[in-house]
Amino acid sequence: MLVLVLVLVLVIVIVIVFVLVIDFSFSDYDYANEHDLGREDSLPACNYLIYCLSTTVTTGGFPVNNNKEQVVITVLGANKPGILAGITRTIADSNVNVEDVSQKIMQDLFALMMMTDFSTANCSFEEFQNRMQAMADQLRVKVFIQHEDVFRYQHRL
Amino acid sequence: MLFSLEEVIETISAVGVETFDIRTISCGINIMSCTDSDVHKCAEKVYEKVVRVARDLVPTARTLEKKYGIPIVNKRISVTPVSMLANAFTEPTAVPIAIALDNAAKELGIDYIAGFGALIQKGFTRGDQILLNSIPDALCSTDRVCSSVNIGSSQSGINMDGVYRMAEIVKEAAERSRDTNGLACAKLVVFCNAVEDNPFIAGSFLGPGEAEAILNVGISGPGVVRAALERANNLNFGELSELIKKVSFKITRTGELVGREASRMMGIPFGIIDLSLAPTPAEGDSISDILELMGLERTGCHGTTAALAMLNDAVKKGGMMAATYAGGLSGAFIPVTEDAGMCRAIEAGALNIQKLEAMTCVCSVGLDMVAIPGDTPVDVIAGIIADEAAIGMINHKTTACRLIPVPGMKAGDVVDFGGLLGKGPIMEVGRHSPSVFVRRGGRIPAPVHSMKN
Repeated sequence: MLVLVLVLVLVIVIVIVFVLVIDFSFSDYDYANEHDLGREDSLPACNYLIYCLSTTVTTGGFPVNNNKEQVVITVLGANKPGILAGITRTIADSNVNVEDVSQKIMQDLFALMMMTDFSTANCSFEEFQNRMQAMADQLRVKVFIQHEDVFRYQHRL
Repeated sequence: MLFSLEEVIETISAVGVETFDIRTISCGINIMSCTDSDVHKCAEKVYEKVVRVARDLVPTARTLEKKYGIPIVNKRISVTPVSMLANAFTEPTAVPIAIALDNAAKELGIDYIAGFGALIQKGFTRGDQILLNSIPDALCSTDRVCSSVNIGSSQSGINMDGVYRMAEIVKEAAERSRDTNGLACAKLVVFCNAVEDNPFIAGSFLGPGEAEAILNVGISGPGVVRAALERANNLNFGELSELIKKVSFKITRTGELVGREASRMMGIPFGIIDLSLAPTPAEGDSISDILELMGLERTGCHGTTAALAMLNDAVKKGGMMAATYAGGLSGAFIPVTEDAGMCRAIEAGALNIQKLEAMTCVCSVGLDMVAIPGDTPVDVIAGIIADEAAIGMINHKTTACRLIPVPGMKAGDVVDFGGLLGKGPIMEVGRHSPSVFVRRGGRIPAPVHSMKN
């Protein structure tokens, strides 16, 4: 009996430590997104625990993001070393996830297109556009950042 | 990958190289709730309502421009024809309403606001008379207000008293804005079969059958059609039509996307897309250039009407499938001063006002931004308006006149209105007088709706 009580107490302590110690900053944002809550909403601890456990099981620790906001990034310019590195560094710094990349060199013209998920970004869309523009100016290339809907509407029925 | 690199580059170059844009998002606002017998109180209510309903229009358009990377050139507002409110005024003037609309446009950062107009196709109400008498004053004492008056329809015939009165008003507005080359007339349209959901200024207004507030979108894209034609040689008419349809489909879909998203963000229902090719004075953004690429030596030569008819029809067919609700004027616009190619054709002697009138039989919208000599008599202006209205009435289509009798100028001179209104040559008009005909008074009866051959 005493052992059972001790085990129960231990489990409760582990749960409390888990909820308090874990860094909320990334995961609670995803949780809030998935459950249509604002960022400031307080999260019920038990729901959060179940959520963390479920995502750990299904994705090996990385939360699933069902609220994707797909943004197409296109880069055009004269080919030279460092374009891809510079562009992807800015994307990574903004915590935007690259999902697909297509690149071609057409008569010395560097053409790069990336499909990205903007929903995890750490800045606003406008701020992201400004950051990318600054990097493009530095690299002397042209960058276009557009929501994927504009291409979907024009090229797909 | 969801899209190919070629598809993405096609979309980007349409904007960057081929001057594709969303020409306008127009917010229609019903101002009937602002009615008051005191014109000044009514003006206060109109100002308050317009500013309240359309407050988010410009910020929304800016957000969408950034989100989709497509420029939205104009953000505009139309209201219920002001003559309907004027019926209640004890004071016989509607100028304070125009000033209130002008102030609202300035407050909201909108370049033109329209609806200072009347529907007089069958007769005049007291409100219509008050409004018509106020038009020259209203256009000269405001910067951004546009006026349109419907003087005929296929159902009602042509109100020839209205035609003559409008010719007088055109002349008076030109004289009163002499220092700006008759610029007031660039903001005044005389319609036959006016549509209630036209998003394009200056002829826009919110018709009596429309909702409390509505968003309409006007697309553009002569440059995109021109670029497609430049890449394609030796096509027969079927293939040419097919190519134009495809381009029209793509640009209309973009308009549909922007309209839906703007509607969602502003909480105002999405009305229609106007499937129009609207030129600007910018090089390459010309309807005339498209006609010449189709194989005409100069716009205005024999064959121009057929080329324009085919272009207009293909644009509509391509756009129809892309839009949930098509409406407005929907067709190729052929304004003169706003289209650098048209001006070149006039200067080359290929295009005259008679040929231009023939071209209006097959496209929207009519004799648009046509500068004529300042000494053109009222009777001749009335004759031009009556001819254009007759084309619309008989063919069950919208036609209009935006004529500018430029004070002190004669045929061949060049007038510059600046900005989107462009510059162009003064066109020669007929020298013989229709004065007995246009002064007969009354209405031209409505046409029969059967035996159309």
